[in-house]
Amino acid sequence: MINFRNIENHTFKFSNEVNYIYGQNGSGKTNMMEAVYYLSCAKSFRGVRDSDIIMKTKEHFFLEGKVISKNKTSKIEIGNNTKNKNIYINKKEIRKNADLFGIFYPVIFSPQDIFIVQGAPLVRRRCIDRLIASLEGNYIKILKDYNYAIEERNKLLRDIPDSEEEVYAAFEEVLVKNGLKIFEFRMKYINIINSFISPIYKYFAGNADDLSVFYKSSFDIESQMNLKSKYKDSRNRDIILKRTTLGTHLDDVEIFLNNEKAKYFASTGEQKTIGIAIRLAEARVYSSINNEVPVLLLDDIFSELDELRREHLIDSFSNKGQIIITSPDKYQVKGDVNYIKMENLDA
Amino acid sequence: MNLIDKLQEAFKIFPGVGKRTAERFTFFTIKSDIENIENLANLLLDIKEKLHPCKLCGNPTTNEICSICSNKSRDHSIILVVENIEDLYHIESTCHFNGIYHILGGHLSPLENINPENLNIKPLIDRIKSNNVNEIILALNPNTSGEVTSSYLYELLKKYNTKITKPSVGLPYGSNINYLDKYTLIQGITERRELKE
Ligand SMILES: Nc1ncnc2c1ncn2[C@@H]1O[C@H](COP(=O)(O)OP(=O)(O)O)[C@@H](O)[C@H]1O
Ligand SMILES: [Mg+2]
Ligand SMILES: [Zn+2]
Repeated sequence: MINFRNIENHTFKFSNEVNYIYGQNGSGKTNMMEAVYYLSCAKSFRGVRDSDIIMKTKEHFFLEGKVISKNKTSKIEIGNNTKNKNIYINKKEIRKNADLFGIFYPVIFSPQDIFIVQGAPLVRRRCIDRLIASLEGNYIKILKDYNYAIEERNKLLRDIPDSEEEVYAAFEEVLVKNGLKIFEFRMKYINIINSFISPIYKYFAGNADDLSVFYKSSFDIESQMNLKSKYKDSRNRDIILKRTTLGTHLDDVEIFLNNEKAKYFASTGEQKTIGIAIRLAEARVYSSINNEVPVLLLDDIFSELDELRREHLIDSFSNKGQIIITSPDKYQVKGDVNYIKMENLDA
Repeated sequence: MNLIDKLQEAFKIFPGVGKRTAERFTFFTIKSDIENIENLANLLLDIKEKLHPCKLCGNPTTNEICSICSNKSRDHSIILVVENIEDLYHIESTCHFNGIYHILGGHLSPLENINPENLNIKPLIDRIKSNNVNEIILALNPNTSGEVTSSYLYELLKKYNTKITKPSVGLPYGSNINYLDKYTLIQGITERRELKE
């Protein structure tokens, strides 16, 4: 990697089992994780602009990664100078970020995961949408068209509210068609997550508490029938509110611990554990469908766990796939671990 | 800005012409015979002054009605609706369509400030009302905004009890009529699917 945040020029070699990167705060551990993640989808997991990633005072960054999965080696190269992003897979240029999907899928665990429980519905929608997009080839396009129709309809509501009935109907048709597909995909994946998450939580938390997730939608089974007329009926209200108030762009995933809403009732410690359990379930869903274990990136969550949970976390994935752990301190982890000290990177 | 720079900038208004090509055009112009350039300049002005949209279909013509609309041997009961002039020319080049056309002049997109009143829609409705139109083919670009425009037109036109169809097979989603190969295009416009409630 070259000029990627505070890392000017460095090559990391990871083993295909457990990698443990330690070094003081600010040494660039999270930046390294971000680079690995960036190679999988040409986006940061921190939701920042590419210009924030380029090393200060530099004009571009460059990443190159060699990924070996399912006995296939792929070389991914991404160069970025804020104006242009060039992506190459095995020296062939690709046009869309989405063409990167399917080479490898990292699941990142970070202290931010508590926001999966605490945060706004958008955080949870993004989480589930990313998983679906990596497993269902047409999902990105469905979401994109849906969001396009929302933008267009909102423009009508805001600036040209007395547009013809037929103009509204044309955009609402996309919302109905694509919204139902989004609804079905999300329901399907929430159900799969639910089939994994309770035992994962019990094992990881080391108690008998019951964790479950529930997809909360403004579309329900009965309203599927007359969704078209529901949109029609909502126009007057939406014109006053200047936005579309019906659809999957407002849906949420509710998280329950022992049948109570975790957002309001779980303790901070429990919420952290729930965040990790959801990431573990995400990894499990991915591997159960794609027959391949995702790369686990454990950024700075290790030092917060007690020894038993550290072991549980590693155990649930060791001998199966690649794990990259970062931590300020060097803990002894059992098994064959590749330790890397983060310092003097440019030497 | 000197004259050379000005001409370069002027060439860049054309689609597909970047800095490098604009530079080549400019130096070619300087070296070229005056007759060539005079001819080109006159044609550019002529086309802007003498061409205007056909009153019936929107196809640019020097007359009031274009050669397609005034051609008696064409089937005036079938109207094929496209977004742009390019699409009409591309379909004409296949020689597989003998009906008449209607050019909308774009797709519906409030975000891009393209609303129904900015599209060439009224003459289409007038034709449906006054003539014996048996079929309207909605051949808008097979992408999201084309689809939306199609369903808008369908909603708008269904009350006139005319058969409304769409090219059925062969048009890959996300593409542009203008870029389709002729074989795909011919298949698309000959095998049509009727739109119904
Ligand atoms: N675009 C950038 N250019 C240069 N340095 C950056 C850039 N973005 C972040 N940094 C630096 O990276 C460091 C943080 O690195 P980080 O990976 O978060 O450390 P940690 O090892 O604690 O995870 C900070 O010192 C920050 O100033
Ligand atoms: Mg960090
Ligand atoms: Zn005409």
